[in-house]
Amino acid sequence: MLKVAGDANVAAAADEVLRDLGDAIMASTLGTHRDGVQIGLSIEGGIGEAWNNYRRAMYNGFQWKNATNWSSVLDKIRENAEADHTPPTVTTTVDNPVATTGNPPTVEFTVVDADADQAMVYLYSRTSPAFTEYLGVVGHGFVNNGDTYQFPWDGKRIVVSNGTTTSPVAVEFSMIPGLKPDGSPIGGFYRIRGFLQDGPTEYLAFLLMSPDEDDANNVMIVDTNGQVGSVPVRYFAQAGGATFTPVIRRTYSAGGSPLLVRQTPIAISPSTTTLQILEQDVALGEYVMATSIHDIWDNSGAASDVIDVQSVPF
Amino acid sequence: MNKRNALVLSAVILLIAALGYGLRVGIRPAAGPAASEVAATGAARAAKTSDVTAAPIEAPAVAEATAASPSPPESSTPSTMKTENPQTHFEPTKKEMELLSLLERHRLDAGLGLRALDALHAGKRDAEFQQWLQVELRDHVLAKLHIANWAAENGYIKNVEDKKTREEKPRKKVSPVKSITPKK
Repeated sequence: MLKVAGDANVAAAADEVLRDLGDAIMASTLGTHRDGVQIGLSIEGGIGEAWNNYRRAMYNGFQWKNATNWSSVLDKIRENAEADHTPPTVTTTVDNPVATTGNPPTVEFTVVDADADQAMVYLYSRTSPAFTEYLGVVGHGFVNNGDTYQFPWDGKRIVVSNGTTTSPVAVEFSMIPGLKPDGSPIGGFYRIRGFLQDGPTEYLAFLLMSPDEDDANNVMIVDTNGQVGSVPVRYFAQAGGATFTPVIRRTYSAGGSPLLVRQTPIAISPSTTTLQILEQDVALGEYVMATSIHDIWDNSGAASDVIDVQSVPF
Repeated sequence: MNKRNALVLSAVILLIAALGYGLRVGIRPAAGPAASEVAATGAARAAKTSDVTAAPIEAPAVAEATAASPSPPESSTPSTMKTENPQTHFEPTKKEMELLSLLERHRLDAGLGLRALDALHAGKRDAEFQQWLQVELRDHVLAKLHIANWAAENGYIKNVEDKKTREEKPRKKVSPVKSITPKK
């Protein structure tokens, strides 16, 4: 508006607005050398589960946050998070608990929780009576209070392959998807836990892939000092080869602590640039579909249903 | 040696000095290359961390550089000098200087910057240098992740991913996690 030189009234009004805005500045964090430079405004908020003590500690360093009392708003968010310890109640029904070709098992549930956020379905294998194996997340969605949802399981499990060798894996979320304004999910990251043997060193490692990728292109490594970093899978192939061995958590019927059981080692050879993520029909036998609903404060409730897979594919 | 080479050599000397300073002020120790790699580079001085800490590495290089510093007339530079003594023709490209600077700046491995300098100095270029770097970066992989990423992005680690090959064997995209949807 100040550039409208032909209208003195507009220019004067614009000057007045700028003066008032200047008077409204309570604190500045970037120093005088940034005077006259657009530096933007940073206001952070979020749902309760995201506003944890770690993020609060990082954010509390800003002077303007205290000067504007924005901190009291943030503290209120945290107070609410800490006040709500009531998990959503989850009641499920399942169609086709005896699953056969053409009759896939389908879990249904109605959300009864005012601050429900999202639901997940986890899969467990009980094909051996001696133990239960966790096969990872198979279903995810954002949910609203009072609505009824369904999840038909397709009878598949995920395996990872280098084109020659395949291994069972458990897929988890490394980062849960976000929510677009239209209600559809966006983003998110999957991870597959395992060990990476690189020369004489073995790392705890996670294959990473986004929902947009066909393959696992990256691997996240946790070294013996607890440092975390990610690197392309092809890097290990170029460097002369490595081996990724997925692990699956197994809980024994006889009791004791769960164990991470090594699956088939997958060689990352010079010809391997990515590791393929494939689907396979599950083996026949008993499975458990566990449905959980999370509220915005990350309280969660769950219910489980036993599925008897008698023939595949569904 | 012409003036340009002399300038480059001076820059290398400064870089070596910077590396040496970085080493002396204390950089996290890291294992040196395998004996076979050292033998392959012909740079026996690029050995273990203990050797690096004692900083004997830059001394020979500086001495050599000083001895060579009086520039001969350009016309007298023999064309065979590169073969006979590649060190006098060591002229890092912009990218190589960037890599060396990166290695020094991050100070991730006390020996890596010097070994890279040695490798370039000894005439390892292009594919040979790429291969050398891949082997080097393979060790202590975590500490060198961002160097590895930089090297891959800048072509120092060959991207062997063959998109065409991938396209030739299309697969149905797998979505490990399916959607929970409102009941119809």
